[in-house]
Amino acid sequence: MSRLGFWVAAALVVIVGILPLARVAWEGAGDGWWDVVLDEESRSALVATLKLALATTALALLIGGAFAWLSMRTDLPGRRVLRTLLTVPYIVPPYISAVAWINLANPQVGLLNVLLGEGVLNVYSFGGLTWVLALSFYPYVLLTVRAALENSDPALEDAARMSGAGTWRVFRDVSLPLMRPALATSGGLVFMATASAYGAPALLGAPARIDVLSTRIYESLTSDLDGLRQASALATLLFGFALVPLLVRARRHAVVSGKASRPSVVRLGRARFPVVLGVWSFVLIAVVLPALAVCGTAFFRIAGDFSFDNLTSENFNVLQRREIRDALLTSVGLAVGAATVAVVLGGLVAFLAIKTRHRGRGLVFGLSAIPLATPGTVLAIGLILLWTRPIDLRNTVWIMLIAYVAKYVALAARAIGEGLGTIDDVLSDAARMSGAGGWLRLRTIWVPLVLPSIVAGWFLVFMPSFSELTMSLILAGPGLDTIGTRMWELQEYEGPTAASVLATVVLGLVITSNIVLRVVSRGRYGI
Amino acid sequence: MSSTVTLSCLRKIYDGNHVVKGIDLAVAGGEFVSLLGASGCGKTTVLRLVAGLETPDEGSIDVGERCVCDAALGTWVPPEDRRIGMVFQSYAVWPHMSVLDNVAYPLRVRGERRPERRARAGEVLALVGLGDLGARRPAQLSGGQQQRVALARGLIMEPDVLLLDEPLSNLDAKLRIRMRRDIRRIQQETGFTVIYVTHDQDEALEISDRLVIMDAGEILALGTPAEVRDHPFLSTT
Repeated sequence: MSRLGFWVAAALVVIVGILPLARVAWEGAGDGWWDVVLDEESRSALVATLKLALATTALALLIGGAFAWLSMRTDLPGRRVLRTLLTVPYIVPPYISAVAWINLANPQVGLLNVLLGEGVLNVYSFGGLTWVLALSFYPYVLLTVRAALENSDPALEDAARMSGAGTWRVFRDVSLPLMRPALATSGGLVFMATASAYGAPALLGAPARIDVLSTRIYESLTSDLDGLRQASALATLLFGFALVPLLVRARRHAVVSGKASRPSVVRLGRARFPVVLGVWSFVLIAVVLPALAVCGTAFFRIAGDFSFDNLTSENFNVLQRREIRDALLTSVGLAVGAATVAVVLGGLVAFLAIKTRHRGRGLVFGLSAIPLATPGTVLAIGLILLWTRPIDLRNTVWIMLIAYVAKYVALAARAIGEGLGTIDDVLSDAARMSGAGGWLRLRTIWVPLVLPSIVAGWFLVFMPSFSELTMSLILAGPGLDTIGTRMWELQEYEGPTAASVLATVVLGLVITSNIVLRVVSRGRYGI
Repeated sequence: MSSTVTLSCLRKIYDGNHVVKGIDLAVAGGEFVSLLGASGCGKTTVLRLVAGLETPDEGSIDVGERCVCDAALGTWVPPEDRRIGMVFQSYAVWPHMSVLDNVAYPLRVRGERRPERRARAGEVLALVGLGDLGARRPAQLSGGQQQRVALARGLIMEPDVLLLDEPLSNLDAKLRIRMRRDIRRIQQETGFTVIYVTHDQDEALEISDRLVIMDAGEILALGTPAEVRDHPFLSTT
């Protein structure tokens, strides 16, 4: 059984996630690659992508690193609440943040500009785009660095203090070096995520004529005759960005081990008041305001007038429109399907990797994670290239299902793998000695024992699939819409109110799923 | 319902280490044989080879008239088809099932109906002295009680052979003595063959028909408790 399972898993992982990427490389790196890459517009898109990724990474490192240190190593009041509040942006898709910030800082009618004066803030700019993306991605840094600090012994810092070092010197000489590997890893992730983002750069960059690689790729796909080949060539460039997180894997410090027995606390002292003020202002601006901007626009008759009389649920009537109901159903169906398939495939991959001694099991597990680290645009183009002949799945829900499974199966595999790792093989051996064969052991022993991890994995795939936009925009053909693409059209062609209603629905579902995830996994997953 | 167990030239190599070095052993039907030795002497590996949880690099194993494994011929009966019961050192009681469901599991595997298997599980639980704890969850039991659940699960399938891997090592001294008498009593009442692994020589001397003293993957001595009692290996450990 394990032999058959291995080859089935290996074949599926390769067909679903690896072959499309190989097709992009093959198609893109062929004749004419230089022509496309040396083209004036491509070069400027490449430079813009680099600039945007660097700026966003720097800002995200600053925000995430500072909050990680403050919440783990100081006596900042309200640390526990802040830990949750500050990770909220982690579960909000960046394009929804972009919609929120358009509501807030659109130069003409943005809510903040109504207060501050017309044109004071302009979200349609390089700065605005950097700000929105950094606010979406800083939680990567926060979570990674926090985990590193959690696992490092505060005695290291105490020792420095006992050697006569002041707070700043302890931070510079001990804390910061301890955080460095985590900063490097998460910085690489933010860099990659920024380079592959499509929704926010398209919404915010287009009016300011900022073209990045992902938006160029999408334009070539929709406009040019020879678009697919050109898009593939550009996609190979974007592919390069995906390698960045691999390159910056910094040296780890061997001392970072063992659970801290007791948190070492830096007294903020006189800095306490300004720091508290700063942190809560940030929460207000980065978390509360965008949420208000989306819900406010969705629940009020006239945006910006937060009076009781102006409250309405009429805006939600758009949900009764046929095309929007269809899009909602499609998204729910696809997300449920993708999560279910991903749990089965990911579970098989994890089981083989962790509970068998089959040759190449680690390779299959590793391959399954590659699409997750690959920009969605690249994967989507690869799927179009692959599923044209002999089987044509273009413009169907099936190609979208494959895309979601390919992209997110690693999330399920990782969660289930962690669950399996905690279960002793002897429980399965005992079932064997009771006479139970392979499938029976799987059904009666393994699955019930790792069920919490399976459910967690299911939600970890469901949430991003439900709100996915980048791949969906490329793959959904005419007459086929997900809630993401529908919202996209509403935002582009109909105005913020209807789009905000859909954004509210997405937010509500994602937050509910997150709470379920947190309860089911007893706090191991979710925020 | 008791079978002979015959090991011939059994050899097992892990990463170049000869863990079991060509062992021959014939266990009679209904006999209680202990494998005694320090940790790392290969006794548990021998037991796992008989169970089928490990494959030998050389040699063969026969249970009754049936050859369950022969390295030379490529014969291999998977553990679930060997009709051999096993009680593990760590008990391996399933935390997601009630005590009764744990014990009834081998019957469920065989496809017996729910009422029958529950009734039978109740009987076996009574035999090991846990008659009233069937509805409990394993987490609510003490170590000694969990050990009895594991034993009951091994007994219910009425195996030809029951393998016990240091089943008492996690219990306190008093309980250990009581449990080993219970195991011996049940074995004599039902009459199945037992291979029992332990590092405790008093335990082995009291409980067994014959003892196998092992060291470094080899059999040092083999005989009844009276015959091996004065073996130099025993006084030094």
